[in-house]
Amino acid sequence: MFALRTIIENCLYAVRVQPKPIDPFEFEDNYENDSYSDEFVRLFDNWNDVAYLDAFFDHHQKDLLAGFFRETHTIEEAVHKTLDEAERLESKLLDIAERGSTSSYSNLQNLFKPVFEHEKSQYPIPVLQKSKVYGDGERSWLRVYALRIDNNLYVITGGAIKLTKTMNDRPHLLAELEKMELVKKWLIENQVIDLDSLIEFMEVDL
Amino acid sequence: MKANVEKLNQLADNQSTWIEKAQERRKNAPWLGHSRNIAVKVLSTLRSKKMNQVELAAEMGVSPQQINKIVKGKENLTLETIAKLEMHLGISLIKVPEQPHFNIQPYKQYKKAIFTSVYINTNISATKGSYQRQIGSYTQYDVHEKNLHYGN
Repeated sequence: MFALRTIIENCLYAVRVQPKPIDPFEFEDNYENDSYSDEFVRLFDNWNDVAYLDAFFDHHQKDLLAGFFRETHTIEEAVHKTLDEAERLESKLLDIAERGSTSSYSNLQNLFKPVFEHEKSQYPIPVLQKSKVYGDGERSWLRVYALRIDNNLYVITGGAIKLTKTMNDRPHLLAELEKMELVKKWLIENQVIDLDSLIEFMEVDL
Repeated sequence: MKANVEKLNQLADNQSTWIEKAQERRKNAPWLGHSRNIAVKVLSTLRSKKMNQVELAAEMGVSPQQINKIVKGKENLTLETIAKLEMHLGISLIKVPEQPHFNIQPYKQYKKAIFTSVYINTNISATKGSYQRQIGSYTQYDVHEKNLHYGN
């Protein structure tokens, strides 16, 4: 079951999943007294949680050493890298959110890219574009996932640390894909978007 | 057909707390950085000693929940707590240099300031990442200009 939380009205929203998704690397008491707000808050809470990151990279050590990235990383280095990138990414998003003007919100489009590369050549464009936000830097492994439901209108569904080439390669990434599909259906069911609508394709880089 | 923003806003039953949390993190970035570095070092040491958080809690005479808070890297630790961690883990976490050196130089090109007054002895081998450099036995951290909110 989903609910929606407003980040920037008429521009950026985030889903709240009920019950809260189980993440094996989260401490069970992280959200006592129903303090869980939405997936976007939870994402940056985790990316700023050293214990969470340590447990995550300890579990995914093989991926760190697999050579997908230019450099291999120890768990400690991976934690520091993630903390640094999360801070930069959040700072970028916060700058946009704080500017408070329509022209600034268009900068959000500069941060999002289509999840599926092959969609770049399609026309008409699929109704709901799955978008992702890259962390700062060429080799960032941070991903924020969102549905682009109209010009400058995004619904954030979650995010992940992506250590592999495709989303099909790891359960935590597949779970994010599934969540995006379910949120898409939920928005259609609630008549926020129509299946027959055409969405203009926008591709910009960080 | 464009998205039905009215329906969307009807579904949005509340405001996300992300903006206020992000602002809080930005405001507290200077000490949060130290807390995180200590947390990383504590977890790394526990791993190398094959020790878990419950065992460390028992040795320090605190609850496991307290250790869990420390290793999240979000606590404004007291010097007493840091000293206890150092003692029970047998490591050095923080040290003030004998001759403190203040050097704030705004880089014109990159608009970054280097703040070097307190050094964290992390004993981490030098990495190639831009977020961390090792000088002798100390580590120097680049601080983004936006993070310098002292007194604000």
